[in-house]
Amino acid sequence: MSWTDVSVCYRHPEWPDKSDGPQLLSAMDECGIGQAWVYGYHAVATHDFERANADLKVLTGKHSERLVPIGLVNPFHAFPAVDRLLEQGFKGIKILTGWGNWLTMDNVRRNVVPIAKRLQERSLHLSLALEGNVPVTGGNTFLPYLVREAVPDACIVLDHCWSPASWEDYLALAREDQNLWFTLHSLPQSLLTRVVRELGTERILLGSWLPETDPDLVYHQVKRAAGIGDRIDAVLTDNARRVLQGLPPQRRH
Amino acid sequence: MVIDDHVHVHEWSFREGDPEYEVDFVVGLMDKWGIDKSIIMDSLAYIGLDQKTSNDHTRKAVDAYPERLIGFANIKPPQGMAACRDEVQRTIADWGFRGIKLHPQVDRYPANHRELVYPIIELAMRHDIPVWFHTGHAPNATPTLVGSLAGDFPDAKIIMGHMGSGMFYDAICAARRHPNIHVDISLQGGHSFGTACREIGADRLLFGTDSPYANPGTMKRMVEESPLSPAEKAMILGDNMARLLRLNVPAEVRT
Repeated sequence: MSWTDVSVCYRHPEWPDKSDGPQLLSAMDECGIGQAWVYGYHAVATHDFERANADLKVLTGKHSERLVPIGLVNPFHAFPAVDRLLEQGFKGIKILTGWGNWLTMDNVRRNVVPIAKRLQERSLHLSLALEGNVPVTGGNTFLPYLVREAVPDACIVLDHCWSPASWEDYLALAREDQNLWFTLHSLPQSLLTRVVRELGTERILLGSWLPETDPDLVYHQVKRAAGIGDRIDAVLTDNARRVLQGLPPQRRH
Repeated sequence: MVIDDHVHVHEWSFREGDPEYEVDFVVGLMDKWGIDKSIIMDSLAYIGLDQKTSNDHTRKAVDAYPERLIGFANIKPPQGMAACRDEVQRTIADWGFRGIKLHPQVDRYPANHRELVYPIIELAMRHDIPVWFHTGHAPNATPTLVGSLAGDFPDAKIIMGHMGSGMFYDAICAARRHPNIHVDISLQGGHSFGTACREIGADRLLFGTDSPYANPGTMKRMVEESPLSPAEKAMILGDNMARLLRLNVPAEVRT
């Protein structure tokens, strides 16, 4: 069996020797990752999103069965970059909320909502990396809330939800917005177990942010939290497949 | 009438012997900045004092300035629901305090906790008084959790203290979702205040200062010098709170 990792950093500026193409593929083999969604993370150091996306496209073109390209954009200058990326076959867009992207409420409406609309029109997903280097200024939940308000049918993934202290808020939001997807990462085991039980396995994705975290470690944490044994592989893979099609989570039976 | 919705006696950042610690200092600040009435609560409850003793302190302050100060009761659900019910009876029904203050962060419970918070909200609704939530600290005292609670009690009067502090956008979004939330603007700045005016409207914002921890003049000037209309400024500075507390309703009718 193998599973899908939906958050993997290509050319991470802090671990360049662990995050080029061959190293990522090798780590995937070691950890049983069949497919990884990858973004050109060196953009956070260079702010050259165009170059980062172009480099990524070359890599994923060579390994299209295993690596799925996710575009990174500067939300303040997202167009026409988003259209170009989607034309090139990128399967979604990720917005980073740290790294100087100060997303006020107005900025969310002006800059993020149009991206969400464009993705929704093409049945693709928007990934919101909620926590950058620092917690998002203004709170934990307003960003997905405002996007959902403006684009009710958007396929939204909350990514980079690392801070244990923020999960009470994420769970409260999850109860209000049943169509949100959540990327799980390493958390204290008791909290992770509670999160999976409250969300249900229908709404979870696994995003290790390789090479920031060992995917094998996160995988076993999530597997233990889900309590469904090896079936977790199929769950993670099927959920990821739904997100690639821009679909909401399946309803809990 | 100008009403400050959040003022402390025995502010814990000062010590006994400091002038700022005493109620006379607080009332002096009110005089200086043209504040007619203040909602007051004892701060020692936030550094370990039990709710009963803390509320005794608040009553002493209110008794010293009954025309200027309005008591809110510090209620600490972890002390047990029976004790909380007794304390609400004592402070609200017997003494005439006008609201409840909850601090989920220092007392360590999620603001939407079913066993610890729901009964307090039901008590408050029975007395038709607001519940003032400290917000701005994860994981327990966040605006998202208070918003979730407000959604479960759409007829309760909920005050979102400090507009979520650093989580101000979450506070604004929660208030937009739930019309039973009023938002205290203490500790906020021009950007968040301006955004709240536009997104929520002046009719649900409450002037508050967290005095003497913060200087009341800063907050009052921010409202007065904003581009709002005189009527909107009056709402924020006192009319909204007067309506929420039914200050124009005779006490015998109110109870």
